[in-house]
Amino acid sequence: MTLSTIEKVLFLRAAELFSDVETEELVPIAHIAEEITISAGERFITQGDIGDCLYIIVDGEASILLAGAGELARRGPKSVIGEMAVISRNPRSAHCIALTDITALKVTHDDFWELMDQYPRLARGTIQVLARRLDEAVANLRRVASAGSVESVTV
Amino acid sequence: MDALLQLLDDPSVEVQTGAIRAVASLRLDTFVPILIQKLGQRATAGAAADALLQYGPVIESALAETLRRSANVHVPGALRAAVVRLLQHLGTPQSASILLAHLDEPDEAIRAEVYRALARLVGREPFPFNTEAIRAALAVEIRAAYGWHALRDDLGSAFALSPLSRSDPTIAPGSLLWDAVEVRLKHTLDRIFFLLRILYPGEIAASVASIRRSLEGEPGSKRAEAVELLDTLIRHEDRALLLPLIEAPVARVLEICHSQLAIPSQSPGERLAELARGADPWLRACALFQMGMLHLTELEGAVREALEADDDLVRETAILAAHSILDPSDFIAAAQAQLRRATQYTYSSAYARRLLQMEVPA
Repeated sequence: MTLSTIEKVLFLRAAELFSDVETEELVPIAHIAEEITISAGERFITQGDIGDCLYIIVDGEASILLAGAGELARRGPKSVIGEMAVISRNPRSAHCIALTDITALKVTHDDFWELMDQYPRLARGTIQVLARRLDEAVANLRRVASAGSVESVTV
Repeated sequence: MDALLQLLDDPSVEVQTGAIRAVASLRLDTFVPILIQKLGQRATAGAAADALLQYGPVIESALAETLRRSANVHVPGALRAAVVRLLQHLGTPQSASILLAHLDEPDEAIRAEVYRALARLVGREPFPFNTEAIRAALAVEIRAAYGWHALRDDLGSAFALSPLSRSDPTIAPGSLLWDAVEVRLKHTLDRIFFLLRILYPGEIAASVASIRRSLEGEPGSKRAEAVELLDTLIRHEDRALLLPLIEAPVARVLEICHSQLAIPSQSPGERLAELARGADPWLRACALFQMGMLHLTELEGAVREALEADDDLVRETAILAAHSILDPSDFIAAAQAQLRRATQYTYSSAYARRLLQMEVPA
């Protein structure tokens, strides 16, 4: 498969991380996104490894597996895997194994941060998404805390 | 002085930044043009802006000259935008006057910067200006907004032609062009609201901001009240065409397009060809992509023209469209011509090479 820049942009739009970035601003990311192929059976993410890139599946299917627990989910075209690795280099939380030959776009942490330095509107869109996620996380915590207090009353 | 000039050109950004700070403390006129050029370089833009602000209003004529010069020679957009922001920071009547001379700046992004800067200046401290010039700019932007509505409506049937757009709205080729038109409309509305803030500073500015937020779907915004206030406060000639853009159903907006503004309806093919030949590289690329995805062979002429475009993304997308539209032998000839023309690495030449390798394996 040979993807042009604009086709890569279409796949990048699938990433929630880029949902607040105007589509046109994704062109520089499309330029750094490498089109790669992963062979069926290949483990391309290992649980516990430090994440340094995200993958967007263009074609094919991958299995997400948790050590000791088995398959958690399957991911197909337009799925984004390891999204937060381009923001923070945290350990991967699960294995990913290609169930079929996969064509994917790969965006590395270093390339992405270089772009953030150069394109403020890209940085702004990404910050907006992260801020929204933070709000959601805080709201979830409040719900949990509130549920906890109700339980303690009922107990 | 020579030493400072050398340091300003040092390969190290840290050294350049240090030299810029030193220059700022000297405030020598000689360095002003160099500092203005540094505004256009991302790594030094912040330091250069700080340095120029230390000079104060004496730099206004040099900033004005930079904006004037951009009408004839290429001045990077980042540099022009930075100049506009500096004028806003200086905030003198002369700065406002320089900005007012650029209400018809052809680059939409820079025009938005000019309007934004003027809106902030007038919000800070009212200054005298020719309201008719602002109204003329407002009329142009309002007409442009209607134009985007008409374009979107004309293109609607092109999207309907695409089987992908029905089955997969997130990745449909049609949605890319649709999205681009939506963004252009949004940016046009932004410029309209900046102009309103210039014309009606004070109480109405909050109303304008509230309507803007509501148009973006922000929760809690009081759109109805804001529209009512706008309706009450602004002059009839300003609101007659403005309010339908904000609150009327699309059918009414389109009726105004055709009956009052005489914007003619065009076929989707005409619209796509017009966009592919236009001045906006992103819209050109989106239109070409659409043509390729829909195999619109009747638009081959527009695709062939785009193969000669200056913009690399436009050329690359034209190659993609040509791959879909042209006969294999014609495509191979077109792609080979691309490679012959390329004197350095470009995304379009790399893409043409990869497609050729697929078509004509070694």
